[in-house]
This record gives sequence, structure tokens and C-alpha cells, in this order.
Amino acid sequence: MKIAAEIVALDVYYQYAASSDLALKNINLRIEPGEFVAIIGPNGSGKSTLAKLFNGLYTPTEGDIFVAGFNTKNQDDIWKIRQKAGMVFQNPDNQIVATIVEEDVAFGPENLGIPPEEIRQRVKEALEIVELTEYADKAPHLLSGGQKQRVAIAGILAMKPDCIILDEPTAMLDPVGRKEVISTVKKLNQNEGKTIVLITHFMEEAVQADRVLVMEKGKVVMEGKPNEIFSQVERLKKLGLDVPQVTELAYKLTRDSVPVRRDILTVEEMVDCLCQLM
Amino acid sequence: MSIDVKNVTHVYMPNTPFESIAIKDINWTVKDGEFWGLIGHTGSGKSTLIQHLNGLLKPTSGEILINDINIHSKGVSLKSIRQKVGLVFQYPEHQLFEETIERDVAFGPKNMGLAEEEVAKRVKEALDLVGLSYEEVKDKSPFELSGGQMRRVAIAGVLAMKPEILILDEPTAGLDPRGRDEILEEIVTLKQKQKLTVILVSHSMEDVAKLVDKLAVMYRGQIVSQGTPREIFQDYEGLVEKGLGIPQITELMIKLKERGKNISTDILTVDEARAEITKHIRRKGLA
Ligand SMILES: Nc1ncnc2c1ncn2[C@@H]1O[C@H](COP(=O)(O)OP(=O)(O)OP(=O)(O)O)[C@@H](O)[C@H]1O
Ligand SMILES: Nc1ncnc2c1ncn2[C@@H]1O[C@H](COP(=O)(O)OP(=O)(O)O)[C@@H](O)[C@H]1O
Ligand SMILES: [Mg+2]
Ligand SMILES: [Mg+2]
Repeated sequence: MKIAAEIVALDVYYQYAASSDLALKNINLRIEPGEFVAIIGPNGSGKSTLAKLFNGLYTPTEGDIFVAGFNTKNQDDIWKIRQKAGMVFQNPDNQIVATIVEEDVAFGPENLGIPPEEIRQRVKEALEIVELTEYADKAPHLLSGGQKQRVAIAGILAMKPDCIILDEPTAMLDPVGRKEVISTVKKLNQNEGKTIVLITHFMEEAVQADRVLVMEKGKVVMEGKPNEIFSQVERLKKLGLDVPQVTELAYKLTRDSVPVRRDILTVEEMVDCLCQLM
Repeated sequence: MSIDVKNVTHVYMPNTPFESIAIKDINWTVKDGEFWGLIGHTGSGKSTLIQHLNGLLKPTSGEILINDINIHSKGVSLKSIRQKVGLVFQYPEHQLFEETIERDVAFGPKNMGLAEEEVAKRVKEALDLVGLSYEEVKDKSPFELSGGQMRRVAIAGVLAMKPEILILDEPTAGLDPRGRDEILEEIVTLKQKQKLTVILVSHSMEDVAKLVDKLAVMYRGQIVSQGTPREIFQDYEGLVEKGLGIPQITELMIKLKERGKNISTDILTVDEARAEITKHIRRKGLA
């Protein structure tokens, strides 16, 4: 059994106490250090449940989850696990606890019992990474939704996690806020080497990952690189999912016998491809 | 039903150190049967504005007229306004409070004094409209649902009251793509069948481009432009400056044009883009 990966799920089942159905069924997966994985799937398919198992908020009904080699069932390691795998949630307003940005970012490390001098350093670094240094002494409620989510991300960063799990972090944001958060996430992955698990209903966000997992009814039903997944337009639609508008356009143009690639994922790729034809 | 917003300003926590002006001198007319989209950056005042339309918030100054009657004048029952002007809240968990989903959806119609059979019928219809199976979910607690399922229940609760004006505050946030499309299609159908007036607050430029007749753009507490989606989405840079954007497909057409292609940028949907691009390529004899 190899547990060197960032996150490993082995034969995991999960059932909520109040429910007679299984929320997760026979999940087996590995997420490697430094990987950027997106999870997509219909409402109720088990994405948030899986995320909460990843950071030890829930433990499997059957099977095991290892985070950085620690079994989440082992209660003694639970704080290490929460610190290694930080979570960011959907609603920017529910995640802010302090009345000043830098105090909010300091909240996590304070709870870990880190000395004040070190906390100050961590808060400074975290705010630099999310590009909010100039807002350090501002009140969070004055920030835009995208900025608030970046404060939440800074709060997680200040705990020095290896992995950050984001559960629909952009669902409540305006288009510019959404772009800010996704570019911050990519930067964390590429420049800071953080492992990223991004749960999203926005297909344009999922295409940016290294690997996409598709869930349905508690199971992982598809897995692969974004172009492998999103070129399967009909299968995704059958699952109640979608593809980015440019990918859909590529699919429709091939039906009109326009010779474009079927696995186009971004506006830039489509522009390059069409410019060769037009 | 028509709505007139006249010089409306709203100040939260007035005369305290926390005083803040959320919306400022708003003027807006929504005519009977229109379908409006309301877009704007987070914090621009969208939720504050629409909570005025069913009397949930009272203007600090200015007036709200529904069918030409000031809803805060003497003798107007706010309860009857709220039945006619259905509002689906931005955060569904703020709207759900009963122990079972059945009771939650039944709450509004029951409060209207409808007979039991009528209430039961409406609950089933409304759950069906939002894609939930009555038999499967009726006895569940709304708090045992996934985020997207909760949102569907909140929408059902408002639909069950059969309002004449339907206002939805980011109703598709957190919904999966099929759920999003189904609920939006359902709203379009309901609008046509029951001649509803609809206001959709949304961060999805793709959705509003496809659906609404008119768009109002909010920025820092004010409505800064109004027009058809075609008019509004011509101003790509202006929208980005205001925290917004344009549909991905429109962006594609603008970028093709920037690369010197003689192509129309007046495109709001994938099918329009498909037609325009194939026309262009056929002219060149490539396909
Ligand atoms: N607290 C709970 N008690 C009982 N059942 C629950 C609870 N939370 C979720 N469930 C159920 O578990 C299943 C998976 O839910 P989960 O929240 O993981 O879905 P999801 O994929 O995150 O959905 P969404 O896209 O709507 O956020 C669903 O059937 C849901 O109804
Ligand atoms: N209950 C409230 N108390 C105080 N301020 C509020 C309240 N609700 C909203 N605000 C403030 O009013 C402004 C507009 O917010 P809101 O109407 O929620 O915008 P939107 O819906 O466009 O995101 C923001 O500055 C926000 O912080
Ligand atoms: Mg979820
Ligand atoms: Mg709002």
C-alpha cells in the first residue's frame, strides 16, 4: 500500500447518519503532491462529502483516507491533517471571523499556537501571495466578494498547508471576482507548489486543472485530462454537466464539417484554430 | 403587474458609525410582462434593491410603486404584496426553516389561506418544476440536502405561491449545469404561460444573454446603464471595469475581429456564433 501521495482514498464508503443511502460508494483515488485536480458532478453527487473526508471533518463509514500519510481515522492526527489540508467554502461572508483583514488571516495560526512574531511574518507573506497587502488594515466587509475569498485563502495559507481544497469558491462571485480567485489558485499551484482540489460547477474553471474527476451518485465515473474529459460532450451532457461555450462550438462546427479540433477548451485555442481556417 | 422605483436610496444602520449607503437615487421601471436581468459586482446593491420590491426593506427616501400604488402608503397590506411579488433569496438557507421539505414548500401557500388539497397540489407541482421527486424528498429535512438541492427547495417554496412578479436573486448559484438550464427554462415557460413579470439577478453573463429582454447594470449602488443584452454586451471593457464580463462566446467573436477577421461581434449564443463562423468559412469555400 503506497500512501506517499498527498491524498489517498481506499475503498471509501460514506453514509450520513440521517440517511439510508450511501453518499459515497467505493471511492479509490490518489492525488499527488503539486497536482491541480478539479472535481465536477451534479448536485448531490458527493463532491462536498468527499472534500470533508479529505480534511478529516468526516471519517469514512468504511475504508480509509490518508492525508500526507496520516489516516484521518486517527483522532490524534486530526489537527495535523486539518493544517495540511485547508478548506475554502462557497460563501465569502460566512468565512470571515475578524473585523480587520490581517487579524482574520492570523486567526488560523493563532489557533495552532504559533508565536506572534512568526504569525506576523506568515500573515504578511500570505497577503502578498493573494495580492491584498494594501488591504491588511481594512475591514473585510469593505472588500468585494473576490477579495473576501482571497482573504479566506490567505487565512488558509497562513497555516502553511500542503494542500488546499476549495468547495465552489466562486459560486457567489461576479465575473471579475471569479477570475481573480481562479488566477490566485493557479498561482498557488504553480508558484507555491500547493496541491489543489477545486470543486466547481463552472466548466471554464475545471478546464484549467491538470486532471478532472467526474462524480455521479457517490461514485467517480470519469477521470482524465481536461481535453480527454471535455471532448466527450454528449456523455457529459447526459450526466447533467456541460462544456465551455467554445468547446460546444467546436463540437457543433465539426458537425458542419468545419475542420476544427474537438478538444478545444479556451477562447485562445479557438481563436488560433479558427484563424488558420478563416 | 408593473414596478416603478422612484428616487430610491437605502442607508443601512443610519446615524451610527456603521452607516452605509447601499443604493443611491435609483430610478427604474419594470413594465408588466417584461423579463429583466440585473447584473452588477458583488456589493453593488442588487440584493438591497430587490428586497425593496416586495416591501422587505423600506426606502430611506424615495418610493416603490406596484401597479402605480405606493406600497408603503396607508391601507396597503404588505402581506398581499409579498404574495404577488415572490422573492427567491440569494442564500437559500435563509429561506428554509421547516422540519420537512414538504412543510417548507407548503408554508407560503398555507399562509395565503388556501385549502389543504390546493396546498398539497401546489407543493407537488412546485417540487416537480424544480426537478425534485416529491415522494423522495417530502419527509427529508431541508438541512440534509446538498447545496444545490437546498436551492431547488427554496425556489419551489416561492413558485408554490404562484406570484405575479417573480424575482430571483442569483437562483442558479451552486446549481449543476442541467439544474441551471432546467430551472431557467422553467422560468421562461412559466413566464409565458402565466404572463409573469420576471427579474433575474445573475452573475452569469451567458444566462442573461440567452434569456432576458432587458438588462440593468448596477455599479456602486447605482443603475449605470439599461438596455437590451445586445446593447449592453457591446461594451466589453466598460463591463470588466465594473467587475463584470461578457459571454465567453461573445469574447471569442471580439478576439477574432481583433485578429483582423471580418466577422460580426453582435453574437450572444453558441448557435449564433456557429452560424456566423460557418457562413464565413463557406464563403471561403473550406467546408
Ligand atoms: N448533513 C447531511 N445529512 C444527510 N444527508 C446529507 C447531508 N449532507 C448531504 N447529504 C446527502 O449526501 C449526498 C451527497 O451530498 P453532497 O453535499 O456531498 O453533494 P455535492 O456533490 O457537494 O452537491 P452540490 O453540487 O449540490 O454541492 C446527497 O444525496 C445529499 O442529499
Ligand atoms: N444587512 C446589511 N447591513 C449593513 N450593510 C449591508 C447589509 N446588506 C448589505 N449591506 C451592504 O450594502 C451594500 C450592497 O450590498 P448588496 O445589496 O448585498 O449587494 P449585491 O447583492 O449586489 O452583492 C454592500 O456594501 C453591503 O456590504
Ligand atoms: Mg457541495
Ligand atoms: Mg446579493
